[in-house]
Amino acid sequence: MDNPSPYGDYKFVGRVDHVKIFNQAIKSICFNDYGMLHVSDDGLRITVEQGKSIQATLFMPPAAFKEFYVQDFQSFGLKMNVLSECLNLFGSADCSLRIMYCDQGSPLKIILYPYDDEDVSTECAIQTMDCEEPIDYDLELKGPDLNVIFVRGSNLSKVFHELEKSAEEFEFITSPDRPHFKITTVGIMQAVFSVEVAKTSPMMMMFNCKNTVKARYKSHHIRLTNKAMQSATKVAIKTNSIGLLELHLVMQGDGQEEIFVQFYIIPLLNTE
Amino acid sequence: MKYTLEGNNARVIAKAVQSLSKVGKEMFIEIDQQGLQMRAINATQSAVGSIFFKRSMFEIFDMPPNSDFYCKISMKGCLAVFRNMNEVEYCELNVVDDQTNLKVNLRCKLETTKEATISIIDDQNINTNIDTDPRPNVIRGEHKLFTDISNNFNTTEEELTLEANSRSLVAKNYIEGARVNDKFMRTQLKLKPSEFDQYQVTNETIITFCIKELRAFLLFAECLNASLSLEFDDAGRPLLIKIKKHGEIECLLIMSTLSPEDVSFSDDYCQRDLTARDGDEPLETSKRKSKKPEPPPKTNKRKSSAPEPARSQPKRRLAESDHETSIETPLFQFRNSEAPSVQQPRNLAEVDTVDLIECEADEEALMLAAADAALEATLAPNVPQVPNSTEVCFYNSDDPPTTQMPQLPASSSDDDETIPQSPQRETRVRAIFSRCFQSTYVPREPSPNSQAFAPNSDTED
Amino acid sequence: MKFRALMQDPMYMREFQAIVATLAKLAKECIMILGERQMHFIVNEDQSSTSSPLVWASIAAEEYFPEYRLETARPDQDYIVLSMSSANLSRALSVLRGGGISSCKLKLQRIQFPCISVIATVSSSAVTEDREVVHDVPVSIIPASDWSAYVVPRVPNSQLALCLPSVRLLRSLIDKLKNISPSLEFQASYDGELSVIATSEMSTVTSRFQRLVPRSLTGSEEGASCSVDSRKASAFFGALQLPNEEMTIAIEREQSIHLQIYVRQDVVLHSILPAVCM
Repeated sequence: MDNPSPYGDYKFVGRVDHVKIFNQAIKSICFNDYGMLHVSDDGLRITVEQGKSIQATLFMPPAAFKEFYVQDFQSFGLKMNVLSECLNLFGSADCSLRIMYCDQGSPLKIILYPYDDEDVSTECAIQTMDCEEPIDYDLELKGPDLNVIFVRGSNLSKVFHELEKSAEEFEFITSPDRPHFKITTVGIMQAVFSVEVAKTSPMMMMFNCKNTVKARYKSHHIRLTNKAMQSATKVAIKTNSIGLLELHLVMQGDGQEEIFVQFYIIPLLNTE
Repeated sequence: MKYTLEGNNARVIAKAVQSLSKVGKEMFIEIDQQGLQMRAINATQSAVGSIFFKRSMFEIFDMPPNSDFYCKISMKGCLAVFRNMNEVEYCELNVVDDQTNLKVNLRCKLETTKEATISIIDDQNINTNIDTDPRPNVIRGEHKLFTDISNNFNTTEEELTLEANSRSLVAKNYIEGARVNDKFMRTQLKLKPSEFDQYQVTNETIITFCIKELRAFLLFAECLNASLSLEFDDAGRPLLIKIKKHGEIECLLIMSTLSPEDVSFSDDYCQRDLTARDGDEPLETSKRKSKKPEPPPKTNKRKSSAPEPARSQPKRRLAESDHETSIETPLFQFRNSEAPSVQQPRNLAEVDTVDLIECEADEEALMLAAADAALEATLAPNVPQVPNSTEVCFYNSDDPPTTQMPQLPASSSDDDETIPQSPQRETRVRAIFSRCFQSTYVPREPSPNSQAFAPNSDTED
Repeated sequence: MKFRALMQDPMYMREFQAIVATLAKLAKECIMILGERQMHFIVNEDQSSTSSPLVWASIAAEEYFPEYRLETARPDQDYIVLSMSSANLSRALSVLRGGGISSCKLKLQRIQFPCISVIATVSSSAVTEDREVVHDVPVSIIPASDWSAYVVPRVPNSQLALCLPSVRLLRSLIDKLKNISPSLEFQASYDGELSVIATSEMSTVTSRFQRLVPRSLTGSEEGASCSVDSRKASAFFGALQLPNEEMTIAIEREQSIHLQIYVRQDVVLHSILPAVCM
């Protein structure tokens, strides 16, 4: 039976009470021009990639929405900075948000209602376009040789934030033996800096490393995770035997809703 | 060689590094039986900052008896390791790898350890020949007072002038009566002796010195919550700024001050109301809006083409410095108005890590000075005699000071060729007081004979 | 030629400082016109800047200055017109931002060249005696022969004006909208609604401000709209340092937008944004 939908022709309608955390999450993955948006019954996903070396996905389950409706949705691409600018139109003022998408090729509609002033509102219509499917890193990460560490977000954020910016690369060590978790700079003239955290540290929520994994990553890629890290309550660090790094962050909004941001970073090949 | 500090003391050392980083680009560390000293010298060699920590501040101070240790490391490296000290509980310093590396290990909260290994560049140190006799003028006050004074002046100001007499202290960004650029905003602040903890001015004087290094030291005084004392004499003689805390920390900033003969005074300087004639002057908008004259590109070359006088002078001065019996030899020579360079090539030969200044403000200063140099070229060159001057000397700790110009064996071949570097530094020194030498003042006022002077307006105030 | 003025009220001193600070954010140079009872400041009087709008402030001298004395160069002249660096004047007045200033004097005098001396007397409680801080702001005196280039702008003939109770949200909005489109369309309706529209290839943003108080200046109930340069608009809103939040937006159809802030009675800040083609 064809029940006429209360949402008419719209394929996706979502309502969020507080735009702040959504705005922060979007900003944290804005490192490339275009992103891919997909909505399913599982929730909303936005994926951004830079080459074949780093990928970030924002995931918002239906529980994070005040209202969530999806029907026959097909992925589309959009410009990330335009989306971010629109969400940020009222700056730090708290707003409620409505997101609507009608049909393939139609613009994505975002409406903001600031709480301070009910006589003000702004509506953005953002152009959408076709896009390619992102790389599926999940497949590569399945395997028995996995080191998994859960860290408190605010503590790990400080560690990452203090990493020396002038380094070209960072070497990560995760291991059941000492050093358990260590990040060392590579490529700074006349100096080497490192930070090490013991597995018994109170910031470690879980420490399960089966093998010593040593891998190097471009410092630029690691720093792309900083914005998301700043708002994260929990971070899962996972790495497999070849050093593919997965950072899975949980961001929590004012109303206790949770948004997830997941990074995959490819290691640099060992040239030694 | 191992030196350790608990968290709070480590934080003080970090603040000292931050302050000294605003003075110079290299950190000189000197460790002896008494304690550890950090020093920095500024690019123009007109200020040396030293901060000394007594060995009692350290938990472990592992110095072999009857020995000492000197090293020079990059200031950037120091800043990086001591940047964020909030979580630090314990700090350990080690000289490792056969004295080629300095290792800093910071034990922090939550079982986190930060470590830095910084290369030691060499074992140079700074030697300052400063006499410790008390100066006739001593002014001591809370750091907050000096910070208040400093805050009245723009962050881009380069010099500060203090007019000290028994009744008042006036802080200015100019020298009274000196010719200035007609876009220059004068600022002055009048203080009474009662504002200071100690105010002893027996020798009325006006001194001018770099404000940047003073501000760097103020930062440290603030962190220690300590007072500063300024000790000085006549213009041209060095100014000493001291901070002492708990008998464990001693800071000394030695700064050279401007010599009065290096200031050019304005003929038409007076304070009065304007007249109708002032209202008739045509507007020279486009001319006046451009402050920067075109820099003649040949300036540097011109300087380097005159090495002869340069080389003879340093010898003479060094010879004088060996007559240590003269008590009042000022530490720094203030060379700022000779057209040919009189920098000592030998110093530069030793300090092979001199950085040329890159920032915009300095470029402008260079251009202003270049214009000034062009003007100077048309006037009779005036080489002021600056007797009794010594320069800051660099010594390798292995070589004792000699009566000749010390030569670093490795780089002596380039001695004469370092002159190309020195003119730029010379220019920088001149540029500090460039406003005094502005050749672009607008001579639009009519001759004094025809002006109708209004009575001084201040009577009604 | 003489000019002396004195301020003693801390609130007025802060407002005066805020006006000058606003102007300093808009242009490097400013014009100061001293009349017998009025003081005006103008920036971008020639409108040659592509990114900063024409802005002027008109201050009734008696509002801020219990003492205000003017003597022009010649008896037949009504004004003294000066040009100076707005940054310098703003910095000279910045001491008025903190508390503890018992008085601030402005004095036109010549030391080596003409300048306006700003003399502030600081009497903080920690110090037994007063401290004096003096800044001498260099000025150029504009001769009467050139005055025609520096007149106080005339207010445009707007058809409709709306009063916005708080510029805060509009300010943030315009700051972001300037990145989206080089021009913004302002649409005002007689029922008190203001729409601000930015259009680009990638997006269209329409913002609505409702329930504003309208004022028709022609008697008709028709709306009015005008498109202006978004960078200029953003520069004006971004420069504001005044404590006031209220603003009047008046539109002359397809000609200009006139923005006004009443700092207090007889102290008004104006800006005119000229129309641009969409």
